[in-house]
Formats: sequence, C-alpha cells, structure tokens
Amino acid sequence: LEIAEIIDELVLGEQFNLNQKEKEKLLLKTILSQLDSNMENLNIKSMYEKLGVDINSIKTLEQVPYIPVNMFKSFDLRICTVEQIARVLHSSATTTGIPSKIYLDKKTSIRQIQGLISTLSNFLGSKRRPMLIIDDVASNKKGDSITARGAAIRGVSAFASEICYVMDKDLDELKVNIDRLRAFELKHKDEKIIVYGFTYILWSKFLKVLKKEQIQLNIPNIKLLHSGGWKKLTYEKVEKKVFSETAAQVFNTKVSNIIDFYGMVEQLGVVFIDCEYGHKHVPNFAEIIIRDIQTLEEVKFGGIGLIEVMSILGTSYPSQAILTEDIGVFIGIDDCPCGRCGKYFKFKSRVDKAEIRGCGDTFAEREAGR
Amino acid sequence: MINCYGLNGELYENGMKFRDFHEIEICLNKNFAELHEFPVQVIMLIINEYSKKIAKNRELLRMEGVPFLCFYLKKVNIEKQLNLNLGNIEYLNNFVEIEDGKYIKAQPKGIVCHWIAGNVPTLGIYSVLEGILCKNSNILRVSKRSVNDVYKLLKLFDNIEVEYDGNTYASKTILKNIALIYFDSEDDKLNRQMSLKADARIVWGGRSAVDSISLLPKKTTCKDIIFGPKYSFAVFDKSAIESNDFDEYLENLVTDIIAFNQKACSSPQVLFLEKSKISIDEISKMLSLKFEKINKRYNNLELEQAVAAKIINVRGEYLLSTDKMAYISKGLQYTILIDKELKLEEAITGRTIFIKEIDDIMEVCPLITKNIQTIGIASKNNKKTLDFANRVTTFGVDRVVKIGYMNFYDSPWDGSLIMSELVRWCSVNINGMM
Repeated sequence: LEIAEIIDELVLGEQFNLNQKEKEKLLLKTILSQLDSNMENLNIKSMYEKLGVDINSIKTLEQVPYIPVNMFKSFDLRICTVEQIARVLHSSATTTGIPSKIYLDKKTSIRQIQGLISTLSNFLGSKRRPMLIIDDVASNKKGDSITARGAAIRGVSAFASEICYVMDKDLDELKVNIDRLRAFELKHKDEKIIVYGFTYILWSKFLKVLKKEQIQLNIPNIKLLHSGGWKKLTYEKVEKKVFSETAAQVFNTKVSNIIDFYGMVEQLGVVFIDCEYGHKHVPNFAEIIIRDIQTLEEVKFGGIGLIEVMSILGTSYPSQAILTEDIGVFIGIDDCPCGRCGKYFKFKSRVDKAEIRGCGDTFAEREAGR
Repeated sequence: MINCYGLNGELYENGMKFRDFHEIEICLNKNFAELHEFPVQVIMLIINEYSKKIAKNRELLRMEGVPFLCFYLKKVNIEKQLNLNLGNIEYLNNFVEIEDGKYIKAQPKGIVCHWIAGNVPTLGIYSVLEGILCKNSNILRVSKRSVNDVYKLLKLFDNIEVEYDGNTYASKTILKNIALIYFDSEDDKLNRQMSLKADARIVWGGRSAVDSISLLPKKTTCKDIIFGPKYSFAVFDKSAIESNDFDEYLENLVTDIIAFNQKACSSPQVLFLEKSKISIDEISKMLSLKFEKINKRYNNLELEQAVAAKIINVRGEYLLSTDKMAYISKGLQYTILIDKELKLEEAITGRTIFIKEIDDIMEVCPLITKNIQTIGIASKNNKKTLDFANRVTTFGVDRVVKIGYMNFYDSPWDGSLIMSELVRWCSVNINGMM
C-alpha cells in the first residue's frame, strides 16, 4: 500500500480494530516516510543531526525522535510553506504565559477532523444528534487562528444535528443562560443528546452554578464529553469521581454517561476516550509511549511515566512524536475487556512542577548597584 | 505540632508531639550547664569516636556525603577548624590572658536554632556540631525529607565514652543539648516561637525559606548566620586542558556535578573552558564518557518530575537551536549543553552542565555577584589561580577550590567563620588591680 492509502485507511477506517503488532508496522512505515520532510524545518534538521538520527535505521516507534511539547512555544516548528498555512492553533498558555503555535495546512486540518470524527464515532455512533455546548458561541468563531477550546468544539460539533451554546459572555465572565438551557431541555429531553464542554468551565461555570441555584435538569439520554485538563480542578481538590457524580446528578443521568477524554492542542484530532472500564484507548492512526522519567524507555505494564503521543495526522508540523508533560499509567495491550485493540492507559496527572528547594536554589543574577 | 525526634539525650524514631517549645526549652536549659563543664578537648574526642562509629556503619556510608562527614569529624580536622575560627581552642575552656591583666574567653551563645535545608542530608550534623563545639544548646529543625537520615546519624552519637585527664565523659551530655525536631515549614506560629528562643539563628535554605525566617521576631541579642541561596560554577584554564591531568580534572568535575543531585549551593552548573588546542566538542565527548563511566556506579538518579521536565525542555531547546549543541545520554543520566553566550545559566540540576568557551578565565569576572559561592578551578598555574581568586573574591565569590572539592564542607563557608560567631567574646581586665 502507498503511504497515502495507509493513512486514509488508518484514519477513515474502523477504529481500535488493529492488533498492536499490525498497527505498529503500519504506523512505523508511515511515520518514517514523514520524518524526511520534517528535516525541511531547520530546527528539526538541527535536532536530528545532533541526535545522529538515521531514519533508515529506526526499527521501532520507540526509536522515533520525539519533540518536547513546550518546544512549540519556543520555536516555529512549521513544515509547510507560509502560503500553505490554513490556520494557526494556539494553546491556552496557562503555565508559562506563552502559547504553543501549531501551524496547520488544509490537509492536516482535514485529517485531524477526520481522525476526531472517526474516534468519536466509535463511542457515540455515527448518527448526528442535538448538541449542547457548555460555552459561548464566540469560542468557536471563524478566523485564521483558533484556540484549543474552539478547535475541540469544532471537532465534536461534526456530530451535531443542532447546536445550542448555553453560555453567554457577560463582561468577560461566562454565565449560564437558564432560559436557553430550559428551552433545549424541553425540546430534546426524550432524545439522545451530546453535551460537550471544557472540564474546568463545565465545573466552575455550569455544574457548580446549577447546584447552587438548585436547578435540576432531566436529560437522562446524554453522553457528556469533557476535556481540557484537570490542573485547575486538582488545585480546587475536585476529583474525577466527584466531578462525574455531580454532572450525572445535575443532568439526571448515569455516571457512565459522563465521558472524559484526553487530548492536546499540539495533537489535535487525537483523543483518548475513557471506555466503560475507565481505560483510555489509542486510535489506529496514533500511538502512545509511556516513558520512564529517568531512563526515558517505555515502561512495563503498570508503570508510570511521561506520555508521548504519536500521530500520522500532521504533515504541516512535526506531529509524529510529541513528549507531553502529562503522567500516565500504562495498563495493557490488546486485551481490554471492552474489546478495543491496541495499547490502553490511564491519565494520572500533570507533571509535578514543585521542586525540592535548597541552598542551591538561586539564579546568579547580577546585583544592581554592586 | 512539633514532632520531636531527639530530646534530653533520648532519640525517638516515631517522634514525640509537642504543641510548643516550652518543654524543649526546659530540657535544654537544664542540660546546658553540664555541657559547659566539658573541656572542648573532650567534645573533640567524642566527635572523633562518633566519626569512627559512622565509618563502620555500611548503611550510613551509602548515604550521600557521609564518607566525607567521617573525614571532617576527625579530631585533627576539628582542632584545625577550631583554631582557624577562634585562634586558640583554650578560649572555649578558660579565660586566657592575652596581655597584662587582660583575659578573654569564648562563652557559648546559649540556644542555637538551626533551620536546615533538605537538599543535603548531612548538613544538619555539620551545623549542630559546630553549635556543640562552642558548648551551645541546639534546636535542630530539619526538613521532612531528611529527618530520617539525621535521626539515623544522630543515633550513633549515643553510648560513646572517652577518657580525658583521668576522667570519663559520656556523649549523652552532648546529645542532651540537641533537640531534633520537625514541623511544617509553613507553620508561622512555631517558626516564630522557635525564633524567639534563639540566641543565634543558623538558616540554611532557598530564598523563600531564608526570607521568611529572617523576618521572624527575635531577641535583640540574637546573632543571625544566614546561608541563603548560592550559585557555583567551574573554570578550566588552557594549562589544565592541555595537561596530562586533564582526564582526571574532567572526572573530578563529574564528581562535583553528581553530588547531592547537583542541588547544593556548591554544585557546579556551568563550566567555562579557556580556548585550547582541544575543541569544545572533543572535550564534551570526553566528558560524556566520564559521565557514562560514573553512571555505572551511581545509576540511581532519583529525579523529581519537575527536574526531569526541566531537563527534557532544555535539551529540546539546545537540540532544536541551530547555534547550540547538546551531548546527552539516552535517558536523563547526563546532559551537556554548549552555547556561545557568556552568562550564567539557570540551574537545571539533575546532572546538567552548560559549557562555554572563553579566551581567558578572567572573562568570567563581570558575571560575579555576591550570589556566587564556589568556583571549582583546574589550572596548572598557581600564580594565575591566585590572581583569578583575588579578582573573583573581590566581586563576591566565597571559595575558589580545585575541581573535585567543590562540595567538601570547609571553614570558612559562605564567607563566614561560623564557630567564631557562635560564641560571645567575654573579657576580664584587671591590669594593675592586684
């Protein structure tokens, strides 16, 4: 098969049906063909040369050189020409204040949407449904650049037969429009509904508000998808279990209908959705390697480490292997009781940035006026 | 709540709980006089025996910094340190006549309170024994991370007896003057209470710890000895690089880097190389081999997530930059980063060293601030070394030591002769009175 055909088959075909060995073979062949064009970027070329990367001698996915996720903040890691850029994605820049810049050409953008739809279809079915977005309409505004939030909304909205944005922006503050929410509920309460929101917004601006106002919804047939990280909620000491139970209670649905998915702006189109056993699965067109924090080798089953996300979706930026600052637990391969093939894992936390401080904890700044 | 692991000569593995310092203070005050009666020679003999006991304990010897601690605590070294600090150790025992009818004596300060950083487990022992040698009582507040190590080290201090001038002396008396405690560093109330008990405060720590403790209320007579955050680096001159000993210098540099996870104030973070006939790339490759060699012996990195993330990011930056270079291990065992900017880099730690080439080692002088503690040097030219030391110490550096010795605790430390500050200099002047 030609590379383009492999990509189409892996992205558009049924997901989670390839066993690990078969999948790795196809992914490796595709990724190695993409690494050559990465060298068009001088920074990537510099990196490959310094690491002595010989593409022809790479025999496993683990050997593919990865890029630390923060490098998308410091470097213009663009493979396509300026004219080919269809859109620039920006991360939320919560930790460093500097956002990532991800350059997307048309082809990458389409493949990302295809990948997302392909993955979500496996969990939601392919029929379009009414969709409640826990955000304001401006978050998905059209333009040359887009935020991670907007990109995620755009992706899931492919599953919508009708979209209702339930929040309004009032002086930069998101507020629930209760009338709009009630109208949506009244109209669709007996139908199968999809709800989507960023985890933190869902919790702080929606679930907490409805609970406080003692507003009880009755939309039991929902699939509530949420993503966007737990950092702020961890800070507020909200655990995933509490979150899911609260959401289920507010919508009057089962906890199993509250679905967390893990993804990142640097790997748009690749999402890892919790199956009914609480495991995150990797779609056919992507891979994860959980790397030990000391040796950087892949951990064994049960091992904890940094999550590397690999993907064949991008041709306008080096998406083949990105080492995240997230910690995951490698659970198994090909044998999840849910029946999905490939690797499966659990998201654990963001990297703990707290460091033991001691007498060496200084930066040797020049003292003014010495 | 205070967790007290050592009080009144007894050590408690699980600690005793106290709401405040009341009982601790009573015990220390009660035991103070007995220690005061000990000749300093007895204290030195006991510490010497203590050093021998540690040297026989295989478990403790595996703890980082303990082999050097054994050497440091030997009588010959302690006596040398005391003489350097006080001029004459007899000042600790008696009024010594220094001129006609004028006598001076070094009396203890009283209660010395130590706040010890968690990055070097042996630091608490050095600090507290300096307090003891000056016959002070001590409240030793250690970090949660090192409390177990300090407990194990202090445990060996018990049951030592020495003979001096026909009398027998027991280490218990010394142990009775050490209260080993831990409480949450954020506990403002306990920090204040401890501070108010102090006749001298010794603080070892990072910026936030030092700043917050410095601001605590204290007695007007209290003496502060602050060992705040410091930065260290290394320089190799041409004569060293082109010498037959260069290989050894690199090995010594690696030893300095790996000690205390490179988190000590004396750990080198940058290496400045004087231009020589060996290229910076060749040197980096040689250094890589030294790291590989030492990794076989010290392969447990114990990297914190935060440090690992910093290393991964800085590696990414140097690998992707077209004007920088990196030599790295497959895992995070070592990271060598090369660039041309003449500056000191933010400490990454975890066996990460920045290398920069310069024409002359004197070029580092403009980088010196009062934050620089140690410069590890490799040079075959003594005069040049002394000239260099004179320049850099003028601007702020406290120590210039040969490479391989950067982390060896010594006196003076951080510009201070600590023991000279843990006594009150008292005088008697009776000239012409008799």
